[in-house]
Amino acid sequence: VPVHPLVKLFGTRLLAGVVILFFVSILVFAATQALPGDPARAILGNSATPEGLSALRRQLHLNEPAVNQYADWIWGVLHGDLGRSVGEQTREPVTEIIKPRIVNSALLMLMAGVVAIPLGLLLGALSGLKRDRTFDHAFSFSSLVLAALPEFVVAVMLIFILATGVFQVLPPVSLIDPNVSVLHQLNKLVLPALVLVLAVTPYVARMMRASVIEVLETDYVEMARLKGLNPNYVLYRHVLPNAIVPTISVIALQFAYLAGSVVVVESVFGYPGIGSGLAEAVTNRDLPTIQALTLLIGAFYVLLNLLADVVTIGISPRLRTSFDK
Amino acid sequence: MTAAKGGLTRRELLKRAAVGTAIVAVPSVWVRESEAAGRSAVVTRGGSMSVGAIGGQKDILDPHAYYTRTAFVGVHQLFEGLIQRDHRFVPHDWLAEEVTYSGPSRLTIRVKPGIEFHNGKTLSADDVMFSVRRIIKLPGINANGYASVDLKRMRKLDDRTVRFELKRPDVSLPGKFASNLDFMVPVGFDPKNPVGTGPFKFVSMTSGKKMSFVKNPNYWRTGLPYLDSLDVVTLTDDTARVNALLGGQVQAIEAVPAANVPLLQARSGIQILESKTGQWQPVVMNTAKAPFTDVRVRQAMRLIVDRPQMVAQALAGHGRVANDIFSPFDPGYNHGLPQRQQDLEKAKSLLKAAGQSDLRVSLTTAQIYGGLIGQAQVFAQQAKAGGVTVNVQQLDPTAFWANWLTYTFAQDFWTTRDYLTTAGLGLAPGAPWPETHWQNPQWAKLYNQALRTVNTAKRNALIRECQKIEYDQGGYIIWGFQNFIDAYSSKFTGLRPDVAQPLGHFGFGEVRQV
Repeated sequence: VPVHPLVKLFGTRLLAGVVILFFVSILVFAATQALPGDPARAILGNSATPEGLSALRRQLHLNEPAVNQYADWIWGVLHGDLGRSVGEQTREPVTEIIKPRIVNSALLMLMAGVVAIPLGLLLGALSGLKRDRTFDHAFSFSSLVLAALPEFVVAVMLIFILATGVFQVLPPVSLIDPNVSVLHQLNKLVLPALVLVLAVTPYVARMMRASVIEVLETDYVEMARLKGLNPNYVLYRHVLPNAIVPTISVIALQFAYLAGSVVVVESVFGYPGIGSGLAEAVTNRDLPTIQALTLLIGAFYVLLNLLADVVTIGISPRLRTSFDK
Repeated sequence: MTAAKGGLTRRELLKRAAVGTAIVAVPSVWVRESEAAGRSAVVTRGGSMSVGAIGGQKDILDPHAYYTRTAFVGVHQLFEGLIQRDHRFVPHDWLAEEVTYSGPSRLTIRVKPGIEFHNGKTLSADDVMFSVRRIIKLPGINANGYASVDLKRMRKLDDRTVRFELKRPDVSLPGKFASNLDFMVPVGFDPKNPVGTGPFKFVSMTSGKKMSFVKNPNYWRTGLPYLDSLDVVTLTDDTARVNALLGGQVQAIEAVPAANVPLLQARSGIQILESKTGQWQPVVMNTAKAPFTDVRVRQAMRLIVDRPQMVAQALAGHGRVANDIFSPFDPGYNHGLPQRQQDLEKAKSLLKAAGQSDLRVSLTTAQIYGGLIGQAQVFAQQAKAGGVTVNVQQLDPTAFWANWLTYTFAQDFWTTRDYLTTAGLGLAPGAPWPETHWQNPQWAKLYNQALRTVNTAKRNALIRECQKIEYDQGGYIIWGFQNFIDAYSSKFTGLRPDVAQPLGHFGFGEVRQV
């Protein structure tokens, strides 16, 4: 059966992703093994008796060789069992702990993305079209400044401006009421989402600006203009679709990067997502939770890159047709 | 911004509070609790308050085994002890009506009549015996402070009276009942349904996030509490905690970083609650390991510290200078010892005599308590002036606790306790936290003698002698006592400075709207 080259391409990419994730899992596991400190002691505290410690270590399989521990873990992961948290004496399943956090983080990233992507594309395109005019200079300067500022600095500044200092209109800390759906307390998401928007938009916009400028200088755009086509038609039919293509991969990379910045942003705002969950798990030496969350972030990264490839090929006429030959 | 602090608190708390504070007053002069609350004629009733505290993942509202500071705050709303210390550390009978010794090995406790648990049950001798048994038997918790209690010979004399026969003379025992891990629970207590006698009743809890309480309408201290409800919110990050107060999301927070005090003071609507305490963050010299086996080296290190500078720089002035001995609020505290001051010449000559002129040591530390790293750095600078190279070795908190008690030179923190309890935890033979590994037969003899001395004046004289020996030979460098700094909204009043615990000993039962 002849396989469509596109399908084949994605098949190989997917396979590569799985292999990468396998290595990531080994790396994550090795890293958690290398963490100093002992989960049994972290659970039982300083007043723990030696007998209690060794019993708990046995119960947590901490005495077994690392290879066996890894095999047990990865076998569980493949069967959807991420193990039980060792951060709490109640030993809840890791899935129960991380599920609400994944939802919260996804919501936060979604909110940030929905604003940042169109905004970045729009600002970048405008800036590129108005190259070397006042707007372009103002944009270039401010986007550079924003891109250079670390997220926590932006966060602290926004908190001061919008929550505790100048205007006191938003809650400075995302104290999500656990008994109410996050959707009913969206005001608590605004500040962290805004920080992510400010972190991502400059990159997207700068990429879009560069690509708009590049496309504007191509022969086919010049040709279209010389033919006397309506400038708007040229813009929407030729310039923007072609300029967006290289921006797609930047957007995907930015989203992957977001998965990392949420760790910082969620910690600053105390937002209960995967980022703050990871930070807490590290402090508590909750190895199964650390492993699950890092693997999740890794998978997210791989998936986004794959998605970027698909979308890039899908919307770029040249690449798409090259597979039809 | 120390995320680590939150996760660590359960252990810190165990360490801080696993064994209670001993009261060393003559049992016959227990001060009667007479402070009836709600005396003032016009008070505002009602309202609610949210309190932000450092927390961790697992909140358990068990008064005998809590792990987070948030749970610690909650436990103080739900439960009470037989004896409670006031804000100046003076013990008062609380749920107990009478605490009597007949000789140093027999203790009789009678509880007040008509005190109701949140489930309507009346506090009785059975509950007292159940609670004591639970405290001692609870797995995973070190009940070291109760070593003298003979559970087999614990007797109920009548419905409100329990008699404890002790395995050995121990006059410090009533003090255990005043500690923060020794609250009374009803027979059959289950932490999932945390029922106590306190001013607030349990409503709900989401571990690591929030716990909610409502007013206990049948509270035995008539007229209290004033508030209708109270929430405790986990706010581990220092900045987030301060911001939540500034933004009005919470109305009270504990542990304000010293650097934020001016910011909060400048804001109208917020009041700072600063308390002088007996909290100490010693530099710990392991007397079982070279070079600190040599008393001359230990004394030299104590002379190298510039204590006023430590307080000024490391505590930003929010504290007091100390004298290498602990428990400043204990009536037995030795005020007669001259204040030790920096003396670099004497330190150098002591080091030279000990053959340690070019001493190099690693000071092991971790962010196990706010400001510890900064203290280590100031200390290292001062040591350099004395010719000692101190290399600050910072570990991750979990790693620090993993090998705790084995370090040659390290930092630690201790809360306000009385002398005999603190010594029993850190210095006495068989102590659970013997970080200095200091063994001094003469000291041990005096300490044991103090434990069996019922007469206060005589006991305090023994304590002073013990402290003199520590001052001359011990393994602790105790350079200062740190203040608590909390803050709360000016719309509320009623929190008073307390020497032992933040937020006025978590006294939200007495907080009311202005």
